[in-house]
Amino acid sequence: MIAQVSDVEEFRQEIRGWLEQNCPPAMRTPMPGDEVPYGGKRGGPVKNSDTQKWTELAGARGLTLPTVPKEWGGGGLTDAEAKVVAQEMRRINARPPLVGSGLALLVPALLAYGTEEQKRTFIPPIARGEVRWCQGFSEPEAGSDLASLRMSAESDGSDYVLNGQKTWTSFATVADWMFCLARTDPNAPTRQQGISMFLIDMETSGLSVRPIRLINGDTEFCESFFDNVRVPAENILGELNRGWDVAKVLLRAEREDVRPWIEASYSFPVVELWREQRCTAAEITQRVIQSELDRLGLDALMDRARADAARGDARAERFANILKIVNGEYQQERAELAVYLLGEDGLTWSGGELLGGDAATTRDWLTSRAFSIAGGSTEIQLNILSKRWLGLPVA
Amino acid sequence: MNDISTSVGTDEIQDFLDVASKFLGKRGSVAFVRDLLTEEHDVAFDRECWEAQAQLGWTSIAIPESLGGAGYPWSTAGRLVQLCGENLVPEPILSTICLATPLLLAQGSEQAESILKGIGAGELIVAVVAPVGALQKDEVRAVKHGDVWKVSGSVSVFDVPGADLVLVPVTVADGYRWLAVDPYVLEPRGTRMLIDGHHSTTLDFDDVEVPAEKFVGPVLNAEETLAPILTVGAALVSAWLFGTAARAFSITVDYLKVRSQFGALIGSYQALQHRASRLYCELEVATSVVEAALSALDAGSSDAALLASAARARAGDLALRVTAEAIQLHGGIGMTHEADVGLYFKSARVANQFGGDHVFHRARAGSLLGIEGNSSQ
Repeated sequence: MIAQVSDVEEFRQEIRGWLEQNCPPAMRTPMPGDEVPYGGKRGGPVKNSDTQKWTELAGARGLTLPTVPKEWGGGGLTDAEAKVVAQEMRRINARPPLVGSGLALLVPALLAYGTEEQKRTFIPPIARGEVRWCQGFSEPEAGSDLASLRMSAESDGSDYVLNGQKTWTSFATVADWMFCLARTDPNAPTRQQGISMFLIDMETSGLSVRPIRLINGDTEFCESFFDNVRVPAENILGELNRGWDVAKVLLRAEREDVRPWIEASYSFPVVELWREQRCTAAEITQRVIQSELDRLGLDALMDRARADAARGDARAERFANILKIVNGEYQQERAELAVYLLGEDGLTWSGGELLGGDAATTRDWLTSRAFSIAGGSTEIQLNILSKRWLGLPVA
Repeated sequence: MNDISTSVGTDEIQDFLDVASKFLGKRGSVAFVRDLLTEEHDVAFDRECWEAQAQLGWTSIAIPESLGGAGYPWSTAGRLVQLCGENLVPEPILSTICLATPLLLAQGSEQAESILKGIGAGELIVAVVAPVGALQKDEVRAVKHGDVWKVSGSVSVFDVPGADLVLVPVTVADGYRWLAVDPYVLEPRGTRMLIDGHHSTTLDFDDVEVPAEKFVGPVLNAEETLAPILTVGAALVSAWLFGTAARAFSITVDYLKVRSQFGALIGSYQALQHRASRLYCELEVATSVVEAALSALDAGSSDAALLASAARARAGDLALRVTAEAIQLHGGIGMTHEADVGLYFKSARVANQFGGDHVFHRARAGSLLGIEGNSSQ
């Protein structure tokens, strides 16, 4: 259905009024890293109490999943209306009311492959920010080569019993549920067949989690150990042995979900630092200019990607791979420049009197090394571009 | 070929571009350019072909309907220029359509309008003396003597022999003015053929007397003098450079699919796949910026100048890099006169001299962004 222009304008006034009344003023300011609204119960309350209030109000109004039908906990809005919501939120600099892999990754997969029962059970608590999800895909021996995963899932009565190990399960210590790939048919003809997607309560017995410390000091990534973890068969998402199809939807959503990263990259205040530090080195000045031109190029690329996708261009999917590579590298260069310009402050782990009072830029710079690895490494993206979009021959 | 083309416009514009494409398919300009380098010739393009292109509406593409032109937006002109860059069209598209047309449109004088009508009709080929960097004060200067001006100085210009008129930025008492001259009365000297077949020649003004009406516009400051070239001109030249890079790339990808070594198609080797895919990513960024710059110029946006310089810097870098990689990915065959990629390599370097080069535009973009020379005190 195509909404009438006047209807959309009426909706804009309505949503503008609603935001004025309901979006707390503290949620209209830049979002520090420790106030990100991931939702869920096990992570404990977020630092700013308005964060939770904003999540709850927006969730109740259907704004956390604007285009998902109401019966599954969404806002039931048309694409045009959802665009208006995004515009109006941007207008007042509203923070996102909720982020995370449940919202961004699992919901698209549930919509594509979930049973009616699964959609009704799992989507509404995600929309309300009550349940936080983590992703159990990678294993110690299955990173970029995900299809080589070995975690076993054996049928036992109405359950499946899972054994094995997952790694890079982000936020597994604080997540309530995990979506997880396991091998249900070890004798399938290809490695991609015989894998199923399980939805697992993190409190299930036999499931233990250990944080991994990363170069940036974070412990959000974890290892998860499965020792006879029983999962009911009805918690398989999609068909048995067809979990790879579900994973593809998730992985595509993950690649397309680069917007938050891109916004994060702009938080490296390269030009401001260059000016404050009175940098006179011609080489660095050149790199600062190039970095700003790269940022402009990325904006232009995203505008074009959006326009092509909106027009229904079947080739617009390639932009997901391209953006993943380009964004990651432009952002890493920006991070390198920021840290270089900060001098010794930029290399400080803790203590001293740091510029701005904390080592956030340094930690973010270290984090940026993951941008070309997580969510399908640059090399994997280049493989996909070569074979799928350039049509180069397979070895 | 790989589809890195810009988005589809209206049907009319699409039809226009389809006809242009078909014409270029028959024209065989790459072979023409190849022959320029080994055969004697006086003019490095085909005047009859230029007239045919004028018939198809190319030369009047961005000239307003009030002056007899098609009045298409710059974005459409950019797509035509991109097609020409893809095909290495030897006719003076860069000089006359990309540089002279926006320059003359900005002058707002009867003289400029009359030249524009001549361009649109295919009767006039106009070359432009435009620096690859900043404008040089007093390179050519004019002093008023009663009813006439005495002009002295020396400049170099592309597409002469061949062009009917040359536009020269001339230093006058209180700024600069554009002067239109017939190059042949100046006895061009030192004509040379460049690596891609283009001609360049030196014009000496030795106290030449010119009447006031040879000036095609008002007195301008340095920025105003070059602005049409550094904005619209640069954006159009970027479209050309992008076209050159995109075609060199698609020729190369096609070659990777047919050439075998060590018992396998070389395109199946990951080292080569990744090199090709990296270029592909950069082509996608570049075409996005070129498109954004042309749209901003059409919309009169305040960031149009920045986007034009950003596009020109990026497209220049890209064309140089892609055409060099194209030779490498071909291997030895890429070094031969017979292989097209060598012609693209050479053409990209000469085209990069039009409308300010990539180095100049990166610095200009920096300056427009407020990033230039922190003082050291």
